[in-house]
Amino acid sequence: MSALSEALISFIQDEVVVDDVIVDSETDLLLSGAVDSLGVIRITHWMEEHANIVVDPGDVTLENFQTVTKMTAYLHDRSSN
Amino acid sequence: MSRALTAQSLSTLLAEQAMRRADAPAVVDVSRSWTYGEVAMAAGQMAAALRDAGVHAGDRVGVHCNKGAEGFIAMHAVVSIGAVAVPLDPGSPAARIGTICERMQIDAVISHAPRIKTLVQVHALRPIQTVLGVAPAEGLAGVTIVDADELGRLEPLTPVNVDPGDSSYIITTSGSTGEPKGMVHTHRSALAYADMTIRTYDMTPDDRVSDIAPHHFDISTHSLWSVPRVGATNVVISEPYQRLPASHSQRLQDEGVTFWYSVPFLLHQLVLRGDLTNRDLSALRWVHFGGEVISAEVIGQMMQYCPNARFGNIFGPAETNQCSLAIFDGPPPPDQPLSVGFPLDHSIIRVVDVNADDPGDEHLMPVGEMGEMWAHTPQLMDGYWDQPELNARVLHVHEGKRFYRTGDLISIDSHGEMSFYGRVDHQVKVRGFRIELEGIELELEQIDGADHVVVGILRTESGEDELVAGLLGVQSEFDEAEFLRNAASVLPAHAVPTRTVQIATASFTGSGKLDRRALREHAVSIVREVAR
Repeated sequence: MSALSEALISFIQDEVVVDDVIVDSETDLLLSGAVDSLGVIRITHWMEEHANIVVDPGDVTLENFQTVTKMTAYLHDRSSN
Repeated sequence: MSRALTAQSLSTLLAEQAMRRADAPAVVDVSRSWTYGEVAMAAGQMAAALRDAGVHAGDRVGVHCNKGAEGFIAMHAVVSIGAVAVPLDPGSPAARIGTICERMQIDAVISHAPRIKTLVQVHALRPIQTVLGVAPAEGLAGVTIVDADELGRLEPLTPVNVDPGDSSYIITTSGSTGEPKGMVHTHRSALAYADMTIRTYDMTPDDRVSDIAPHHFDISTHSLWSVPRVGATNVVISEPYQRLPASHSQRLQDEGVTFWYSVPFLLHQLVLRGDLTNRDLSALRWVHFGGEVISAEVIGQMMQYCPNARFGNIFGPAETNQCSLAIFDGPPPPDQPLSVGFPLDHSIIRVVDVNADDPGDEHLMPVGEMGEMWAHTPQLMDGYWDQPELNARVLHVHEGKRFYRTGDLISIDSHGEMSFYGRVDHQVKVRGFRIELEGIELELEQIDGADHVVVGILRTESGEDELVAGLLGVQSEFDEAEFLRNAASVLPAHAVPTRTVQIATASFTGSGKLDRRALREHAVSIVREVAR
């Protein structure tokens, strides 16, 4: 697991999840209800700060945000472009 | 008219559509679509299972499902045998669901796999006798279970004839004390609502309707009853899509949704983060919102992306389903409260002295003056479940018509147009000034800084009241001093907050609205923590 995905998991686990869900890289964060709409916004802010990118609203989709694996794939895509 | 709306009860809605147009789409979800033939078949099989479990007409049956076709089918299965459907909030803690099951003597629940964890907890608190739609599970010992496979093998039951005055479904809300209150609707009141919406919005079988609200929230009655009444299609916008505005808007585009109806929170999120400049929402012909106050600016912004849509502000408590409507064909004036429009046809609104206990002529307020709204409508509930004293207080017959005391403060001008000021019991005073927290919050949300703002009242040690703004979804370059300066430029001095706090996690009511009451208290408690 990359350092980035570990950092993302601990941020989401410690500061975002709204109930007793245990977050790993494959947890479906949106279906489980672990992350609500404002949680999604906070994750995008975290990404902008830690990966030094600007997250386009159009990128905040199920394809990119359903799991931590998808989020890190998105971040890799963005930083290699 | 080409479509004859014949049924006098909800029990046969799906069966009638299945007979006429079995292959027409009824519910479209991401992973599967259901025709009217399929939902009618599934509801009939579930009805057979209910009968086998000993459920009779008039018995309450819980429906505990996430957003999707299962809950829709379950609600129709229950009403098709004359039983009473009680949608149970999928977001509620088990203790609250257990309380509702106890109060309403619910022994049978229809559910599905994603909800099994809560069901097991509920069963431990208050035993359930029958669960349909889930597989046997540890923790459900002694419960009669009929899983999805078994249901699919049953011979479907033909819907029974039901008296229009019989109870059909119960919507539960929290009263001010947090005790669940159940509004009992009849087949007649539900069908009156369905037929009113079909008439008012000129719905047709070609309409594709966003199905967003959970079934325990009255906004869902549109997808539950109006859509099958006219034979239109429900497009499910499930919880994950609601949390991601860009995915939500993508689904509206891809499914050609013609009719959108939900709470302002989701509309606001679509405008803020829905990537709408890259979407084609030209299929939308109605955008409806209701349930809480929304700013004219947000409506104006959404209009830019919906070239063919009319906008409707839907107003009226769940007890009445809906009793007034404001239609906007262009951006509403930004500097005044959004109109709540005119009473719907067959609805009668009386503006009554807030201290009066009946809507009699001697208590009517003069035209244009503020008073409490009493509403008569064919969509009116039968009453609250098992609350005879409360019913006697809020339901009155005036000149042969039943009126409900809504607790809303309104006025009606000489053209018949209504204005809404807030709730009778929500008015607060700060430093002697009467203020309306929701109105201040709406103003503050127009200032650059945060997505949503709540305002709490902090009683300081000197006994002074101070307003605290709690900010949700704060922008990264937020400047408190500038925010407060901007607030002072749009609000009267007594209504300007003295400080801001940031709130990290939103709380929502069971119906998906921001839980402003809880968030206001939270904002105040943050200040208290810091002071300690």
